[in-house]
Amino acid sequence: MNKHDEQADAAKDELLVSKAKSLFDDSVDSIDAATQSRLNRARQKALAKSRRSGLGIPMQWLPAAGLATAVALAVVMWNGAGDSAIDAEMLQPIATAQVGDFEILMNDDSLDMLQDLEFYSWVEIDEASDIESDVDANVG
Amino acid sequence: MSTAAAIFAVSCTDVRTSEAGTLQQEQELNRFLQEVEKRAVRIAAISIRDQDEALDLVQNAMIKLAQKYADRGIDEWTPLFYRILQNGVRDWHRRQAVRNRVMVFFRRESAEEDNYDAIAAAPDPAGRAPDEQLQNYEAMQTLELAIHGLPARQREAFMLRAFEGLNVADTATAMGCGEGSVKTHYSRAVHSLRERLGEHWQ
Repeated sequence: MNKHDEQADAAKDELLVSKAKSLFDDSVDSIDAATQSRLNRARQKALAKSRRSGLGIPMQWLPAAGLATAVALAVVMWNGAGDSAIDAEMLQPIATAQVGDFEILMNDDSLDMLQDLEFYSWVEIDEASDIESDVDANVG
Repeated sequence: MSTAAAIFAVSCTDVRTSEAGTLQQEQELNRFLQEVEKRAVRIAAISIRDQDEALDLVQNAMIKLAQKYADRGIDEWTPLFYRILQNGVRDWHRRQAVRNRVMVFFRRESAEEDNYDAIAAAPDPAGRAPDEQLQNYEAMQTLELAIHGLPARQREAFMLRAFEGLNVADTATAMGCGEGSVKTHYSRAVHSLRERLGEHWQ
């Protein structure tokens, strides 16, 4: 086969491919509505599966996201432990008071005092005022 | 607590950035699939001569691409998509061969090939004159039959190169073979089609 024949052969090949491509494109443009609708549904299904499998975080970010979460959790726990120490100090008098109240409630001897709380508070105020007047007298 | 708040804020920003990236990626994937789906379904239908099965194969290829390769570069999607689709087509032919053997064994002929209704499977008109449409339809039917008669690898190479317009490298990726093999299969396919289609195609 000489060069001229080769060129003619290549031209024929090109013509065939070009005609085939044109017919194919024509058939693609003529795809019916039902097929297009099915393709659309298939595409949406594929995208939904992609969403579900990816969970919104690209795979290459997962180790970084995990590390960030672990660090954040560690910091929160560390700070939380500090706060609980402070809270314990602040809550100690309240706890002691609650234990005191409990002891008073459980002690039968003190029940009379609980019934006359107003009297005892008056006595306490009266004693305080007496002390203040003594101090004033001594100073004066 | 300020450190924790800062880390939380950074995490939120990361998540927001990641969500924006994912949304953009999803939009790109949607656009890609929209561009490729019609040609893909025609290529699959020519390969297996069954429109419904072709649609299923294209759907499976879309799902696999979206699930496994969505994070790859956009320029990689076309060869990957067609590789998945071609694998699906090959599996379909294998299953069909097994099914046909079983049918022959039970003396029941698989009438699927005989039942293929070219008129029913014909695409709808798209605003062209009826005679032109008929002419194109008949020419396409002849071409489809000729392509279908090619060996599988030649058929793949021809459709990916001529119809989908893939270059040799991408066709090689899609077919899972070397570039030299693609050139050989394509060249043989074109020569074979010229012989089959006769003088009126030249």
